Amino acid sequence: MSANGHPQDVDIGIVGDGFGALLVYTTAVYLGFRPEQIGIFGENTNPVQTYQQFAWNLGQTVLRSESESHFLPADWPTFAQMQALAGRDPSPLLRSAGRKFNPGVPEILAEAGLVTKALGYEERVLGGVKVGWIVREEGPPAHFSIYDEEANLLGRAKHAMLAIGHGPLSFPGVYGRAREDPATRERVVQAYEAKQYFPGGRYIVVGAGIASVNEWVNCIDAGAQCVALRRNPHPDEQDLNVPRCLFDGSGIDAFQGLSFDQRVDFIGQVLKGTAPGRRNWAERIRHGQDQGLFEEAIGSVTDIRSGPAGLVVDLKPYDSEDILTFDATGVVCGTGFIKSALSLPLLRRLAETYQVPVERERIVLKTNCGVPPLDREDSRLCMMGITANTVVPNGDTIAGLKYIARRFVGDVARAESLKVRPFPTRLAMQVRLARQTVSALRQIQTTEQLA
Amino acid sequence: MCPTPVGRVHTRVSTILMGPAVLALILTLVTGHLDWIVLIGVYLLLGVFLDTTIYSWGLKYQPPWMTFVLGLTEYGLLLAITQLLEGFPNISVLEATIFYWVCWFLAFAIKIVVLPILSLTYLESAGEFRRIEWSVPAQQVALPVLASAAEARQGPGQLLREASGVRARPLESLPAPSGVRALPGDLRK
Repeated sequence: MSANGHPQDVDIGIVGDGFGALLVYTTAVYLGFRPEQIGIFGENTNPVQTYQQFAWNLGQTVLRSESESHFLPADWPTFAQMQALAGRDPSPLLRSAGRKFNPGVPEILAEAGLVTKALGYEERVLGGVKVGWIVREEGPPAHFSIYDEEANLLGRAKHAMLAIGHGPLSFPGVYGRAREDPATRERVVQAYEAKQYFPGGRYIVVGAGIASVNEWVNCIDAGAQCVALRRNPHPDEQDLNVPRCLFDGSGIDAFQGLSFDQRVDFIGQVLKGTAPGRRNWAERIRHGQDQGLFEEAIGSVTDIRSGPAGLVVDLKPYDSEDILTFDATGVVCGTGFIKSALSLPLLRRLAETYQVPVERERIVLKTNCGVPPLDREDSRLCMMGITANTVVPNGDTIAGLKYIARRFVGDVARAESLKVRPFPTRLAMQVRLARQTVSALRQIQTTEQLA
Repeated sequence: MCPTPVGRVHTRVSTILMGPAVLALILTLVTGHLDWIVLIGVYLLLGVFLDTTIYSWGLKYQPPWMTFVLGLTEYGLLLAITQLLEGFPNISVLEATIFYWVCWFLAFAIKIVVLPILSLTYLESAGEFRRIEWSVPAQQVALPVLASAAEARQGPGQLLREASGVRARPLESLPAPSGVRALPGDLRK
C-alpha cells in the first residue's frame, strides 16, 4: 500500500525492512531497475533500526565483518579504502591487507543511511506494516499478493524476496524457565537486550560467540565479576561467522554440493560458539582475570532460582557429576536467536498453506534460495538471511545477504528482460555513492579497531 | 579471497589484457620495437603457468598482502627468464624493471577497481567472471579447526570455587540487570 493507502503493483517485492531489504534494493537499482519497480513491504523506513538497537544493547562498536562487507552495491571501493581516504590515513588499508580491519558500527550505519537516502529507499517502503500473508496468484502473469496481519492487501509483486530476519531471542532450557518465572525473569537477560551491570555484582555470561565476548568485556569494565560459561569445550577461533573460504564462490559451491541434512549438520558445527580474538578485548579480559573478575567455566546450568543476592545458580561442570551452587546477580544469555523457521509466523503460514517442505525446523530451500513449491522461474519467491543459511552458509552476514541479493536480482533481471545499466553509469553511480560516504565518514569520529 | 584456478586465470588474463598489454602495444608502436609486447606476452604466460600450477596448489586462501609478495617473486622469475632468452636487445634491465612495475600497478588497479564494477559477483565468485547466477556444486574446501579440551579438564577455577560451597563469600544484593523494563534509579530497591 502506498502512502495514500492504495495497493501497489511492483516487479520486485521485498518482504522485510532490514539489511537484506536494503541490499536487494540497492542491487536492483544498481543493475537498472527503476525505484518504482521495487516495493519494500515492512514497518520501518530505516533499514538499520533493528540492527542499531541490537548493537547498542550489545555495546558493539565494530562489525565482525571485513572490509568488503558494506552497503554500496559493488565491491569497489572497500570500506577500508573509503575510511583511509576519509581520514587521510593509510592504516585502514594496512589493517585490511592483514585482515585486521572491521568497519565501525557508527561508520557502517552512516553509510547505510546515506545509501538509503541517495537511492530513494524510504519512498519505496509500502504500507508501513508487517506482512502477515503471501498468496500465490497464478495470473497471468504469475505474481504474489501481499497482505498485512489484518488481511489488508498491501500490494502485488511479480517476484518476492523474504528478508524477514531472525526469529525471537533464544532462552534455551533452564534459562527459558527462569525467564518465565516472575521471581527471576528480570535477572535473566539476553545479550541483545538492554541491560546494566553493577559494580560488585556477579554475572554469568552464557555462550562463547561474539555477543558473549562483548558482554565479558562490558561486565569487567563495570567492575563486576563475570563467569563466562560455555557448554562446548572446543570453540573455534574464527573472526567470521563461518570459515573464511565459505564466503567465496568455491566454498559456497562446495557447501551446496552437500545434501540438505549434511548442510544442516555442517552449519550446526561451524556456527557454534565461534570466539573472535580481539587485541583490546584480550587485554581487558586478562586484566579482569588478574583482578579476580573473570573466569571461564565449562559446563551447564541445571537450575536457577531466586536468592538473597538475586539468583542462586546450580552449575554442573563439564565431565563431572558435582554440582556447584553459588549466588549470582544476573545471567546474560549470548545464545542468539531461535533458528527455527516455524518461529516466524509468516513462514509458518506459508508452510501450512502451501505445504512448503520443512525439515529439522528449517525450510528446505532450493539451491537458488527459492521456496518450493511456490518459486518458479517467471515469478521467483526467495528467502535470505539466517533462514537461508542451509544454502548460503553465511546467509545472515552482510556478505551473505549481498550474495543472495545479487543472484535473486540477476534472476529477476533475466525474467523481466531488463536492460542492464551500462558499465560507465554503474561506475559513476558507485563513485558518487563512495564520494558521499567518504564525506559522511569525515563527520564521524573514527571507531577504535579491536583486532 | 580464495581464488579458484579458473578465477586466477580469469583475473590474470583480464588484468593484463586491459592495461599492461595496451600500454605495451602503445610503446611498441611508438618505439618500433616488439620487445615491449613480447615481454608482456612472456609475463602473461609465466603468470598463467604459476596460477595453474604453483599458486592454486599452494595458496588456497590468498590474503591481500600476498599479492605484493607474488608480484615481487614474479619480477625475479621474469628477470631470470628474459636473461636466459637473450631476446630483448632494445630494452635495458632498468627499463624493463620500470616497465614491469608500472604494468604491475596498472594490473593491480584494474583488479581492485575495474573488475568488481565490470562483474558484480567477481570477488565473491573467487575471481571468476561468472554470470550473476547461483553456484554449481564443486570441490570441498578443508575447514580450519582449532580445538583443545585441556582447559575443560582443569575444572572450575578460583572464582567459582570461592563463590560456591559451604564457605562461599556472600554476594551483595544488587538490582536486576535487565534494562527492558528498567526502573528509574530512585525507585529501585
